[in-house]
Amino acid sequence: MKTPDEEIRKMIDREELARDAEVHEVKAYQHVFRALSTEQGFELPEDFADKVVNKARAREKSQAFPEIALMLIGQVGITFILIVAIIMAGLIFDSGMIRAFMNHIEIIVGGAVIFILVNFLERKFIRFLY
Amino acid sequence: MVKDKALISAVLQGDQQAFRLLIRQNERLVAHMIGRLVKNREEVEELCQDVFMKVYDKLGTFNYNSRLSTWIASIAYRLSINHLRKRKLMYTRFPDEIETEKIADMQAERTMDDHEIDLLVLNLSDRLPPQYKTALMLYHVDGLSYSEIVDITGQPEGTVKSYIFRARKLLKEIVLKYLGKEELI
Repeated sequence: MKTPDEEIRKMIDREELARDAEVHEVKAYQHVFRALSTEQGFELPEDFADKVVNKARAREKSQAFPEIALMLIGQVGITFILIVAIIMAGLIFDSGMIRAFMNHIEIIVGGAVIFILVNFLERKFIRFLY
Repeated sequence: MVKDKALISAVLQGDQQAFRLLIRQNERLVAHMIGRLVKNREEVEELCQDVFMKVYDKLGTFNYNSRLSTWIASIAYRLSINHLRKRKLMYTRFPDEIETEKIADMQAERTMDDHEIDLLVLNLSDRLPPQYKTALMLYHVDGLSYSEIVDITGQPEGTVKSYIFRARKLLKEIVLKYLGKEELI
């Protein structure tokens, strides 16, 4: 809190009060400043911070549940589709299949680049939207 | 600013103790800001909670262009103004003259003491439009600079100065009116 005298001085500096301002003007301003400084601020309860932290924690938990449920559904779904695809294609895993993949290294590199790019874009632009 | 960075970093990593500390450091400022504009106690506490929930959600977007407390105060200000708008409780017109008949009657009977003058000024400041009152109180009571008030209210510096000047002048005129020049000398 600035002292009233300091305020009055500043006001005169800024020419808000004329240099020849009368005493009663200055005294009236001092009354205003003193009155404003007696303002009774609103007091929050002692446990306010705890209440907010608990509220944030509860909300995070409630938000986390649908996310976990969606993730599980997604994982189960992908696994199911993968199994169906393997059965339908009659695919058999062996070392020859890995060697075949290694002959097409551009596919692996392309996949890695896309993965990194998507992560970068999500962190840089999308995360701030929600 | 360094302390702010450490605190923000801890909150973003999920440290609840750090978030509790952040709230304790800023709850007084937030309560004062909201309490000045919203008069219902329950609504004030609820709005204060909303402010810190918003801070928690948006802390990752804080860009360190101002102090953390200034950023939090700007959220408190915006939420208060939105609340007043929703409730249609916002005065938008600056009163050229505030009605003070009751006080005038009181004054006519006897001389006002300091306490009564304080009450009169505070009572009248409550009737100022919220933008004026916020700027006036942040400057004169909380000791904030013009640039900090600009950051909080989002108003240009010239507008903030004008709000403070006009509000202060109006209150001074009222004091002069009800105390009289003779009594002030």
